[in-house]
Amino acid sequence: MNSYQKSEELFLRATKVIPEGIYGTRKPGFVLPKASPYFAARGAGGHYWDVDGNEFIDFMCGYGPNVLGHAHPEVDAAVRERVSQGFSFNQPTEEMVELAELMTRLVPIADWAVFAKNGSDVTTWAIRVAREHTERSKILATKGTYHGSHAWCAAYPAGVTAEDKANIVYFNWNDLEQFERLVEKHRGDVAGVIMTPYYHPACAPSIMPAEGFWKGVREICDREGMLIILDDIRVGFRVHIQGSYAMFGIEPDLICHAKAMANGYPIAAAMGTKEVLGAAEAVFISGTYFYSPMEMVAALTTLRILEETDAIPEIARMGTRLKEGLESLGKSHGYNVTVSGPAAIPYLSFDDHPDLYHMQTFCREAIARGVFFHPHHNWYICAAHTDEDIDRALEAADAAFKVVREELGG
Amino acid sequence: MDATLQASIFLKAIMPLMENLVEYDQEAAAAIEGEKLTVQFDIKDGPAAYLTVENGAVRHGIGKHAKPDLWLTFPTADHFNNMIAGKGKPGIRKGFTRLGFLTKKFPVLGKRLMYHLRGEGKDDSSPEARRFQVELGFRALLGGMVAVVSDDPKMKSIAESMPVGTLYARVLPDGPQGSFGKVADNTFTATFGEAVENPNAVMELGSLEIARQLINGETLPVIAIGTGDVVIHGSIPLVEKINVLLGRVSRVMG
Repeated sequence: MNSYQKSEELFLRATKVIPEGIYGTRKPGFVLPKASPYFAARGAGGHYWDVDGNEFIDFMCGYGPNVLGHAHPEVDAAVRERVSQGFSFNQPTEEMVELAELMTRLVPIADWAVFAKNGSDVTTWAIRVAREHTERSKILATKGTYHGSHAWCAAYPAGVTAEDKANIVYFNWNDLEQFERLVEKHRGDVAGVIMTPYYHPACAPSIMPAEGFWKGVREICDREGMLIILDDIRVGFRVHIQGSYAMFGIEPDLICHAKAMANGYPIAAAMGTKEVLGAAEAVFISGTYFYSPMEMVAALTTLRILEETDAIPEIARMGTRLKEGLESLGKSHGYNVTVSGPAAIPYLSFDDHPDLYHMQTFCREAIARGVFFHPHHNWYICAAHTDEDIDRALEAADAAFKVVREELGG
Repeated sequence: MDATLQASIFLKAIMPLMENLVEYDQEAAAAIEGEKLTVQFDIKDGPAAYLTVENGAVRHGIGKHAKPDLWLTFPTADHFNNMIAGKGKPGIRKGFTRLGFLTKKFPVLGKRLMYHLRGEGKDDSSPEARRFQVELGFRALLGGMVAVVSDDPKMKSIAESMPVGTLYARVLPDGPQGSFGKVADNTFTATFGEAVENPNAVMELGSLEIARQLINGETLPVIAIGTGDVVIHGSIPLVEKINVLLGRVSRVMG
């Protein structure tokens, strides 16, 4: 049985000086309070250790950024080298140009790139570029999709005004008819649509795009002079070296990248086609740290490794082993379980128990056995995961399913 | 703070507690002894509620009573809130001769309600008094959530996006229990004192003391969850939306 004593002590210290102690997606209530760590200490490859010394196979990968694994020697060495030469200057460095060159080569649909720190930075900027390009106000977005924490896309209303969201119009994923109706309703005032490549909400299975959905969206956008903004932050280079558009056959005008591009170093990118370059040049983007070469070096190294090695197919292979193993184990314990989403970004669900009691018990038991499965969020596979990790994860899952059966039955 | 919402929560979530108050608190019971009347609180273009006092009991109703004995009117929610704070007077549409209830008896009820609700006597109170305080707080929060989903424009998106389902909350080992849920679009319910079969989510408060601290704002829900004093299972989307409503009610109630 894991002890989380230090985690809990740190949490109590934190509550005295930090709102909520731990905020946002890392707050204890979003995972499994008392049954999972609150604070991490170190990581290596596909594993990490919490402040109490408990070791876990890491199937969250820092909520996505660790695509090559923790403390990757090549990435970290490149960063250390850059740090030794200074990394906070009055001008950008050569790495910014190199990274834009590399990314536009890797993502052939895009002709340019700008850099920021977080996904929210670039999704927010991208919708402004769409508005500038089209000289229209409204943005269509799918209901329940996370595009960041800025006011226009905040999931919760605290501190958000009606005006902040006045020009965001929501439709249901895969509902092309509703999309068309809304475009018609707001004809002439819709700048574009922002979507993830597939639907990946929290606490619910991932849903792939229906046959012809993206094609239909593109046709409507072309007809109406609207732009497609692809929020590829969660998926991106984890599934394809060109990003997810290549995997799903999407033709975006603007693309937002972040998580899987620098192995955990904080950098985000917005990319676009030459047609929207003028608007991109007009919409101001800046931030004190947006030019930092430290993260750019990390991105250059990470993307080169992803391109030059079999990291991406290996991630898919490991994910497929995990998916097939979990579905088979679930069945052997009498449960209909589905692992949805791409193999690299799996989401496990008990099909007959959408209220999550079964999922929470399952993940509690897996975590107790050293396998960090999140009960409410999709998981991530990284290139450092090994066949042995998958074997251990499935062994823990087998035991966890057994406990679920004993505690909750069918 | 939105004045209409504040008034709505008082009328719909706090005022009903007077029913329970006079059953428990001797001073409050004494204040209404021998009284028989219905008092209407009527905010122009806003919420309305009434209290019927009879046979030593209080009954609360939302909306307008057919034949109130004392009909109090307020041009704005601010006027109502000021009266509750003891800083203003209402208009009297009917029942000048019954005004004594408002000036002498109603303040006693209000004072005793706040005494229990805010746990002002907690240091020397009995276990029963502490339980009563938690019960009042529990009821107020449940009623407050029903009020905010209907009357708070800021909570509209939360109410809309909340999944249909019921959260069952209970204080362990045998404390107060209740539920809040969305039955269908724009339809919300709250129950008190009843267990719920097959709820979509369960919130267990570890003790009466934890419940009291949460209700009094002495500890935050997020901290109690982190320390394991509050345990939540089930539909997290439902719980997260309800937490937003609870936070809103707590802030409005101060």
